[in-house]
Amino acid sequence: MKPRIAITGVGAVTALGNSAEEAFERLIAGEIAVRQHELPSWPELEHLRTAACELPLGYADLPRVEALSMAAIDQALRDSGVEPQAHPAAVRTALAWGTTTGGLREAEDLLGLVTQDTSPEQLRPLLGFPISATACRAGERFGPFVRTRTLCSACSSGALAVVVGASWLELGVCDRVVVGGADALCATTLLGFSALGLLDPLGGRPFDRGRGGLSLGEGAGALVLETAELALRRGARIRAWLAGWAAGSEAFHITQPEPHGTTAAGLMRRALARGSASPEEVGYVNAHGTGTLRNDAAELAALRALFGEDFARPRVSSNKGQIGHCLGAAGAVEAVFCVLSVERGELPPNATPELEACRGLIGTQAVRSPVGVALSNSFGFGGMGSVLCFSHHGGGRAQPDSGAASFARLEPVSDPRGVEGSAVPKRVYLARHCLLEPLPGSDPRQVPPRGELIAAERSRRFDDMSVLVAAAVERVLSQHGDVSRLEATALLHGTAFGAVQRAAHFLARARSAGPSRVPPADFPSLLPSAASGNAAIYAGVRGPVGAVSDFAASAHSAVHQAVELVLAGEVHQAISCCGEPLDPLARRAGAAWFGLPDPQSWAAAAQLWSCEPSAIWVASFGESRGPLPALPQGNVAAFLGSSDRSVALDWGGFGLPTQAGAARPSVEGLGGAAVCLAAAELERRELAHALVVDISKGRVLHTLLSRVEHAG
Amino acid sequence: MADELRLEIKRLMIRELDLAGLEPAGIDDDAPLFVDGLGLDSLDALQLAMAVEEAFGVVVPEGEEAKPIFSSVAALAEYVAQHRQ
Repeated sequence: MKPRIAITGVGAVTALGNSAEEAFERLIAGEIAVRQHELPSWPELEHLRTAACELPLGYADLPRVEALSMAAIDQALRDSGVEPQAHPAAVRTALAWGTTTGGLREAEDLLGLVTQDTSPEQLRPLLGFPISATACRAGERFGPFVRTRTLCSACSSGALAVVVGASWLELGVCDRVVVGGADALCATTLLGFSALGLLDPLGGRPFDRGRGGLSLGEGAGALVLETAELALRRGARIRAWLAGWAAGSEAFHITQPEPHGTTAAGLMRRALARGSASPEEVGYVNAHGTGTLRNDAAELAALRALFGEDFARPRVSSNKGQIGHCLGAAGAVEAVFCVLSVERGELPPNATPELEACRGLIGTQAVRSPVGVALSNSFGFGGMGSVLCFSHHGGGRAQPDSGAASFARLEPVSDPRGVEGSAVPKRVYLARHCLLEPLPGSDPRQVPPRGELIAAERSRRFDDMSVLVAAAVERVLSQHGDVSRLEATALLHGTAFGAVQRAAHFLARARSAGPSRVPPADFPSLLPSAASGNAAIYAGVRGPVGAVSDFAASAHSAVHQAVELVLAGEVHQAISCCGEPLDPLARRAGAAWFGLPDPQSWAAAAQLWSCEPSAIWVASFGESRGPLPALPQGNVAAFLGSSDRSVALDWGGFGLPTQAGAARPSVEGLGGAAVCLAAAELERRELAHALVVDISKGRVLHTLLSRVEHAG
Repeated sequence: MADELRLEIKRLMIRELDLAGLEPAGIDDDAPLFVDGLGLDSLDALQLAMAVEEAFGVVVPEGEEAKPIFSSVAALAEYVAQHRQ
């Protein structure tokens, strides 16, 4: 195993303390932070135990999720020996961050009260609501970052961010990446999990025989990952290696796990295989272990499938009995704890009185045991899972080969057309694309009944966004997509918000009819990851699945995420998609406060990217703050996907062509549609090259598509 | 009376569980609701329990105890008829 990615810093804010070190010590000591709290706005929910953080000093003016995140990131950077606001330009640093609720906590009180007459000024609390708001602020405080992206894959979001950051290091698009996730406790998740019957009023007790559900928590976890080369060159203290990882989807059910844990076991196998490790080497598993009847049973089944007769040996524990289920933070906070476990050979307990009969499960006392290899599991609603594999730093095999040969840094092609990391010696092709728009004569402001777009009986409970995304995904897959490779197909949904209008409705109902009357089936669709989860279940997609967010450029960031996955060899093909369901609240808040366009028509778009050759390929892609690299000669046009109108569009300043082929606005507000329009013109041979551009918060996301015969 | 209640329950199901395209006539009184028959799942069970509670003022137990009650429209109608105030 040649470790290539070093973890040089960790940071955490949890209910057990505001530093990773303190929280880990209290975790090892068996302290339980789950308890009853006062909830002035929702006294009916006060009996439900949660784990709440004490907000770190100096962040009181920020939305809570941002405060937790900034504190954790600052901690992790300092821990890695990097001054938070001063990384040298020579070290390209990126940020990948996970969350499920974003700034929902601050928006909640407002959401339950919004009416037709609510003025834009009154919608101000929604400012913290876009999923990418935290990453944006982190960029301002700790940047500049060469890449920034927000991921949502429900309860595994924090771990998926680690996976994405790691793949950026492998692709050579950055040298260092800050990864992690955060979520703040909020009424919506408390109401929703309660309505689903998934909360245990006695407190979540993972793997306990008498367990009855989970307890919610909050927090933030951050890790600094670096290439081995960089870490060793600068003499950084390495806490552990990130030896492997895997992300995928069960495509089974939106809230229930696969009972036999087949996909979960497969993810663990793949994470180990990537690090050239075998199950026999695993000394510890930091389980997802929520404490629900179903998850813990499924996870134990997965562990049995993975370890076979060796099942009793590896030690297993879940932190959720002590810090609660931190949703988007969970995967990252628990990764931090797993790293510390490996570093110190101290394995946290299961803080539960009566464990399932399974010898590997650690009891209420922490265990001292050196660990060479450990796994950290995270599984989310919709069956979206990520598994991380960590290995001990002092394992005696820590010396990588000298220079770049030790990891998969791609050599730039001779034509230096791309910006950092966009050089693509292995090509990614645009195999198929689909743009769904209202039929002429129909009402463009009304998403049609789902039976007109997809199979009605397989899409009950789908909200409008899920319907649109499933429809677009089904079409690109059926047009061409290799349906025999669905286990190696990814699905990335670019979206800026969760379902804002639905969340408002959910909260209004809780207010008027009481917490016990909220429709349970409505809750899963409030998560930003809902549409991708639903579409994956609908189409049977089982590779990495999730929502990708980058504010006004969200759809384009999904394109980049898809292309990166194919480029990295993670998947055979990847689908990027986006939809415009005309969520009234999102549009009003978006137009009033975020400078987003105000679309007048529903639409959906999807693209299928593959390593199988076809007529159009990705000549370059990337992000930048300044002028783009010179465009190729020939018939070129630029396509503007969407732009953040709060920033004046300096077309010339970005070096975009102003002659023949001037920018054409795509379907209003639907960033991903520009790729489809560009592809259509390329296919009709009206163009040789098409540059698709999306602008958000002063950053330009760009992708250059070219006809294959014009390849350099 | 029993027929009316069964019809009401079927309409409730179609509405609450988003069974688009189904008419009450298309739902068999005695067919299984879960797994086989209509193929509803546990999330539907939660949704239906809440809707029944709200519509008829009847409390439906959770978990295993609910299974016989939800075994068919007829069984559900009988439970509601027995327990409604």
